[in-house]
Amino acid sequence: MKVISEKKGEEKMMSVYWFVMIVIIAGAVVAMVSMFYGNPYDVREVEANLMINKFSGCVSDSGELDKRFLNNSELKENVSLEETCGFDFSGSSSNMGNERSEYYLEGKFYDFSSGKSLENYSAGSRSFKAQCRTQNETQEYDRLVRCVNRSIYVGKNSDSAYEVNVLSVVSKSKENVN
Amino acid sequence: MLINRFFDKRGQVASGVSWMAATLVIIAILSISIFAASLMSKTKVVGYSETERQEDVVAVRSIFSYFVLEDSGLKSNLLEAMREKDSEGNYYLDFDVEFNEINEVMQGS
Repeated sequence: MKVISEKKGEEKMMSVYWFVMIVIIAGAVVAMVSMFYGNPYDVREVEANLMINKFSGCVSDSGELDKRFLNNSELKENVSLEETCGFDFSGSSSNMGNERSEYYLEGKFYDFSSGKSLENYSAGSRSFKAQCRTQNETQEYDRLVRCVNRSIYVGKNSDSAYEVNVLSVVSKSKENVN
Repeated sequence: MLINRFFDKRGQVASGVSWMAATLVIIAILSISIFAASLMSKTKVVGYSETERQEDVVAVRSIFSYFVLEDSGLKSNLLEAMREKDSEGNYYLDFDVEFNEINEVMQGS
């Protein structure tokens, strides 16, 4: 009789042990899944490239400089990228109480033959530009902004062209970095 | 009888120790997995340039500018500059293939 009751006690102990183990394993699986899927995907590089694509489509009309950037066959002094290219940089964040855009886009025009700097059109938060310079130096800046720099060539007429250096910056660290 | 009881206890202790070891191994494996999951969650970056793509607006528009020009010297300089930019990773597709494709279409038209 005693042996039977001892066996029953051992079985009870084991079932409690297995129950605790299942709870621990299930908890760990839940923790792993929530940890992985709880963190957002960082899509800022994609977003920055899409902005450059949109700017390229705006500035280049089948390889030729779009007329909206010209004034008597010379580059206009001021062009609003929001109005001309249809950008909307209104998504904003608060920085020391001041509302600022989460984006920055800049198009620097150079004469292709001479390399002379001509016009510079920009929109968004200019302060991000400084963070791009130090982006590669520390990981902290890498979390703050994502910068993409690309060049596009556009023909002015049959015997001259422009090189446009485009800098696209997306901050949105809250949405993309945990 | 007493000796038998002593050996029974030793068996129980041995089985208890092996269960404890097994528990520790399971907890260690789970901890490593949780740590790995937290590390992997930090690498969730969707790259644009790493993805192989069929189309690149910046490259195509730049190539079109080559066909706008008529000055042959300027054209060859521009092509050289574009090839240099390609080697720097400015374009996200095979530049020469794209250029040849567009060139064939332009020559045909």
